[in-house]
Amino acid sequence: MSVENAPVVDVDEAAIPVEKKMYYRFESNDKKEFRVSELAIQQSETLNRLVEAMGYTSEDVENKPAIAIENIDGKTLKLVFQWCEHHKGEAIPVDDGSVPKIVEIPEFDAKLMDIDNGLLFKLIWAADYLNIVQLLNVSCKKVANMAQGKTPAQLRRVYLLPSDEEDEAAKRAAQEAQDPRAREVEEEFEERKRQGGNSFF
Amino acid sequence: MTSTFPLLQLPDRAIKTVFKQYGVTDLILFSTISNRAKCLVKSDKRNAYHIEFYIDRGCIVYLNCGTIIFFGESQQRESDIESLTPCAVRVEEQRPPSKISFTLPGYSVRDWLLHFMCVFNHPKINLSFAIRDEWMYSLESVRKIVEGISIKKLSVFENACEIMNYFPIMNSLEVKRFTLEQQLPEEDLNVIRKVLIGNIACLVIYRSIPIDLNMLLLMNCPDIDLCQSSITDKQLNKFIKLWLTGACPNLQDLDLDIVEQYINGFRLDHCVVMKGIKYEEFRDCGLTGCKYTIRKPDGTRALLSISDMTFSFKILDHDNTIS
Repeated sequence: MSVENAPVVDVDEAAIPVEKKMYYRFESNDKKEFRVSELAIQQSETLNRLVEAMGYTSEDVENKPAIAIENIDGKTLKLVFQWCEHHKGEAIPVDDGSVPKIVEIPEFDAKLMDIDNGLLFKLIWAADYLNIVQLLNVSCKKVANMAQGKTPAQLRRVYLLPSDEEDEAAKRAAQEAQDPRAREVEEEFEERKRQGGNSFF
Repeated sequence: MTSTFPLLQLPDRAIKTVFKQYGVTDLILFSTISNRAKCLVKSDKRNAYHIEFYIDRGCIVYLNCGTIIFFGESQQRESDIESLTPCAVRVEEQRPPSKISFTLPGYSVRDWLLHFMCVFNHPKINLSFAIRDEWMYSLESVRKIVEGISIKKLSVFENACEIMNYFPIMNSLEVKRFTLEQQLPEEDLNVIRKVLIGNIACLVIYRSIPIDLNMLLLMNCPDIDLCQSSITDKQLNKFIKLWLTGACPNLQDLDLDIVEQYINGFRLDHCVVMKGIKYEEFRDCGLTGCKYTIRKPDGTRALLSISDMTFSFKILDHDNTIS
């Protein structure tokens, strides 16, 4: 098991004499461990509720196993926690329903997301799963920016969008794979219709 | 670094978040990629509140977010609108402010009209005919463009009769008039009289149309706005009494003015209009004249507002708001 013992963002403990900060330990699906501050965790609604429900004390955090996050790998989780640590204490944005949603990507976030599209894809999935609203906003903004100045043909290529024919073929294939009996019934029905029969049953 | 991104494999909420951050131009271009892309844009609910076809300007789509889309603009008089294919689209956004124009091969004015009605969730268009001298498209080409499309409001200045022959079905009809424009020919007046007793949901007539009591009682539109009518206060009194006994059951909102008679010194006398009618005074009698509420035996209440040259009748809800 590879363990990342240091916090995601280095903290000078001596500089905080009054109140000892609480750190939680999380483990990715590839067994990488992270220590994340309580304040940073508040950016994630999912994790915040989880740690609240667990009611861990400082001793529990050290003595009990790290909280496993089964469906996110270490590389992605590192980005997520780096983002949470940097934005800890910030207010969580509330969707006011306005469109287009105006989102600015701060410099730190832009650098953090200067990554391969494959990793960006995983980061968005993680932000959605962990319910980190602002991380979801900025990462989706980066995806939205990919459309700027593109023609429909270029958009199709960038976003890997299937054509109508490809969608139809995929739908047919999915139907056939899912319920072969339903297809037989449909074919039988079509055959009877061709023969001019009024009743099917 | 890979240059592609599998957008549709993102979770639903993330796809919606991406769409919410698109500008309208990106959204429009995206929606032309495939039917699925079109449905996704439609589900973003960047809805239109008006889609207008102005015969003197072209088509304009007004979105709730403040963005305005122009297309089908022509510089040539009485042109065939389909000759504008591929049709240029101009998008003026408010947040952030920008103006972008583009064309797509094969997209005609009708194609864009149907496309915008679909993706911006607005099933009906308003059709507005300016005075004949300003028409940029022929009537026949407009008919081809809007064939099969539901008309919400039809606005006409002149040639009302000719235009309504082309577009006989609409929710709302507005017959406008410029101050110095001549009165409608008798033929057009007859058409409008027929319309008044038809089933159009809303009617606004800025024309001097002889309306007598019989005409008023025959009207079947729920919402009528008649300017420059020639009705008298005695006729209005009779009308109210008949409404109280069950006449005009569909009427919700009637606004009349007698501007032309007012210029000749005639005034609506609210004492004559309300003579013999049981009423309650409604709040204060302000600058807009006197207000009264009347009640039918079945409990339906109406608010009457009477000034020297205007008469208004509105059905009231239980909480005293206008239906």
